[in-house]
Amino acid sequence: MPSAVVESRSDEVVEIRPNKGFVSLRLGEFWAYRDLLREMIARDMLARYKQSFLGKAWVIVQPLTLMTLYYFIFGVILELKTGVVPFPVFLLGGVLIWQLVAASATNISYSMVSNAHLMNKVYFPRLLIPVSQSVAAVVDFAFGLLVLAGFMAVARVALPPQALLAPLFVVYAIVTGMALGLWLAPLNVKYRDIGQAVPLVLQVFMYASPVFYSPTLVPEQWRSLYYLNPGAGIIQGFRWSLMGDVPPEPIAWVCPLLVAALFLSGLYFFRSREAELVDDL
Amino acid sequence: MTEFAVEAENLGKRYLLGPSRELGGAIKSLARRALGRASESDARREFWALRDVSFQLERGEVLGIVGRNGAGKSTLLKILSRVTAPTTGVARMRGRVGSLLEVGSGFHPDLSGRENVYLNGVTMGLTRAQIASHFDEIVAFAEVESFIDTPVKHYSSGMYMRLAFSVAAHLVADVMILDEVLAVGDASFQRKCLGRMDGLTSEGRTAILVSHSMAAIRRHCSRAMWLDGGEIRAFGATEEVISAYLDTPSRLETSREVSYPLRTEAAMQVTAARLLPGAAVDHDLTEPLTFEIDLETRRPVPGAYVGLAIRDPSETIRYWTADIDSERFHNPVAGRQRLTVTCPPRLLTPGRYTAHFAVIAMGRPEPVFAMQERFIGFGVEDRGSFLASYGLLYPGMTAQESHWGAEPAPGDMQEPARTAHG
Ligand SMILES: Nc1ncnc2c1ncn2[C@@H]1O[C@H](COP(=O)(O)OP(=O)(O)O)[C@@H](O)[C@H]1O
Repeated sequence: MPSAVVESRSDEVVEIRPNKGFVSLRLGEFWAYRDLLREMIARDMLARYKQSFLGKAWVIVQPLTLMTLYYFIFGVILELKTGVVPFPVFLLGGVLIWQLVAASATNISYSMVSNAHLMNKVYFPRLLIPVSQSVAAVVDFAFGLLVLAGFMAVARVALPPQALLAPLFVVYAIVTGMALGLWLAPLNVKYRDIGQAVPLVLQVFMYASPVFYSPTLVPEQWRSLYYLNPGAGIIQGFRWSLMGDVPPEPIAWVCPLLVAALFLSGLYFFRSREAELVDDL
Repeated sequence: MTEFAVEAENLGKRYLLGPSRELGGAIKSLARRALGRASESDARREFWALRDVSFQLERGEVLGIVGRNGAGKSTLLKILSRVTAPTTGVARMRGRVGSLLEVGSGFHPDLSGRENVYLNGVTMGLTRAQIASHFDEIVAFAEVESFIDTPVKHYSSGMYMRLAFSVAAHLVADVMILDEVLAVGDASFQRKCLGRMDGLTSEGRTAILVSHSMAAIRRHCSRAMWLDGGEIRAFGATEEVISAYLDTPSRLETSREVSYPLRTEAAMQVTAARLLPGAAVDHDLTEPLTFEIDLETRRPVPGAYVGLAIRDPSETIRYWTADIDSERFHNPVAGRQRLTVTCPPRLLTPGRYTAHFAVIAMGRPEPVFAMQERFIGFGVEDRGSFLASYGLLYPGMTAQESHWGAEPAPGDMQEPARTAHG
C-alpha cells in the first residue's frame, strides 16, 4: 500500500457551464498544463521514431526524396531556370518551408480524431493537441534545416544580410499552418468528408505556390494576384532571406494580416467548439 | 452546515442525432431548407441524454450511481469531469477533480512502462515532479518492476491494467470520479485496490462512482443515485436506492446486440456480439440459443479462448462456455472472425439474463479482453414445455431434462415386465 499520496487539496471552486456566448481563450490555463504539453510532444516524437524502420532519419529522407524527384522532373526534364540560386538548394528550401505549413495543417486537422480516445476520458485544454502537432512539425523542419545548411555550404550559397529576417518567415509559416489546422480540426470532427478534402486542397495550394518553380516564371500581369496566396509570400520570403533569391512582391505583405485574422478567428472557433468536440468523436 | 464538494443544478445534456455527418450532406440539406423543401431526414433529431439533474454532495461523501445501460451515467460523469460540456445547468466542484473514466486511457503501446507512467500521470493532472517522487511506489504497487522499460505492448493485459490502475491510485484529488474501475486485475489486485479506495474515503475524500456491481456500491457508497432515462429516479441512502432499483423488472433492458469500443492495445478482443439474427429476444427455453461473436485478433495469443458467461440479475454466473477445442483455438490467426456459439436448449429457466463475452488466456488469471458493463440482455420464456401447457412456471436453475426410468420394485407381486413374454 502506498503510504504517501500526491497531495493537492484546494478550495477553488470550478464551475461547469454550458459552452455558450463569448468564449475566453483561457491562455493562462495553458501554462498550468505545460507538463502535459511536454509529455504529448515527447509521446508523438518517441512513438513516431520507434515505429518506423528508418527512425529519426525519416524526417530528412522525405524532403530529400521530394527534392530529388522535383530536380529530375523540373530541372532535368523540363529544364526550368531558377536564376541566382542552384536548383537543388532552391528546391530543398521550398520543400522544407512548404512541408512546415502543410504538415502542421494536415496533422492538426486529423489530430482530434486520432486523439479521440484520450479526449473522451480526461479533461485538458484541447488546444494542447494542435500545439503539440505544430511543435512536432517545427522539430522536423529544424532537422531539415541542418541538411539545407549542408547543401548551401557545398553549393557555396552565402547567407545574405537579410538572413536575420528568416525566422520571421518561419514563424509566418508556423502560424499559417496552425491557422488552417485550427479551422479544419473541429470541422473534420463534425464533417468527416473534410478529412478527405484536406490533402487535395493542400495540393492545389502547393501548385499555386513557388515550391519547385521560381515566381519570376509567373507572367508579370498575374504576379500581384499570385502573391495574394500566403504560400507564395512564405516560400519566396524564406528563400529571399536565407539564400538571396528574388524578394516577394510588395503586395505579399498584405497576406500576414489575412493569416493573422485567420489564426485569431481559428483560435476562437476552436475554443468555442472544443468543449463539445467529443460528442461527435 | 458543511460545505458542499459537488453541487449540480438542472444539469442537462442534449445530443443531436442526425444526418449532417458530411459537409456535402449538410450543404444539401441547408439548400433544401432555404428552398422550403426540407425533407424529414434534414431535421436533426435531438435527444436528451440527461435532464434536470440536481444534487449536492458534502465533503467526504461517496456517491454511487446505478442505472441501466443508456441511462446517462457516463454522460453525467463526463460532464462532471469536464470531458464534455452540459447543454443546460451548472455544476460546481470544490477542489481538484480527478477522473478515471477508463483505466489506462492514453497509454501508448509503443512507449515503455516508464514513459507511459509519466504520460498518464500528467494527463490526469499530476506534475512531472510529483510523479517522479512517487515513481518507485507506483511501479512497486503495480508489481511490474522488471518490465518498466519494456514497451507496454509486450505487457500481459494484467500487467497493463495494474500499471494503469497504480498510476491512478496515486492520483488523489479532492473529488474523484470513477467509472467501473474496480473491475480490474486478478482477485488479489482487486483486493488491494478496494483497500486503497477505502483508505481514500476514510480520509474524507469525496468520490462519485458508477458501477454495475451492487456489491461495490454497497461497500463504498454512503449515498446512491438511480438514473433512469436521463433523470434521477431515486437519490438517497444506498440500501434504499439499490433495492428500489433491483425491484424494477425493466432494469435489464433487452438488447439483441452489443458492441465494444476498439482497444488497440489488446491482442485480441470481441468487437461485437449479437443474438442470432432472426431469433426472438425473448428466447423460448426449448430452443437452442445461438450467439454470433465478432472477434478481432491483432496478434494471435496461443491458448487464448473466447468465453461466454450468462448471468442472472443477481450477477451469478448461470452458465459458462468457451471455444476451447475449436479450430480457432488450435490455430489462432490474425484478422477478423465471426464465431457462433450454440448453447443447448433447456439450459435456463424463464427469467431475465445477460450474456457477457471475454477473451481469456490460459494460465493467466486476468482476461485479455473483458468489459463487464456491456452485455446482451435477453429473456427466456417458456412457451413449449410440458409445464407451460399447464400454465405453470418452470422452477429451478436449469430446465435440462433428465432420463427417467421405471421398473417394478424387486419382490413386487406383479410379474417383472422384462419377463412378461415368458
Ligand atoms: N456522443 C453521443 N452522441 C449521441 N448520443 C450519445 C452520445 N453519447 C451518449 N449518447 C446517448 O446518450 C444516452 C446515455 O448514454 P450514457 O451516458 O453512455 O449511458 P450509461 O452510461 O448510463 O450507459 C444513450 O442513449 C446514448 O446512446
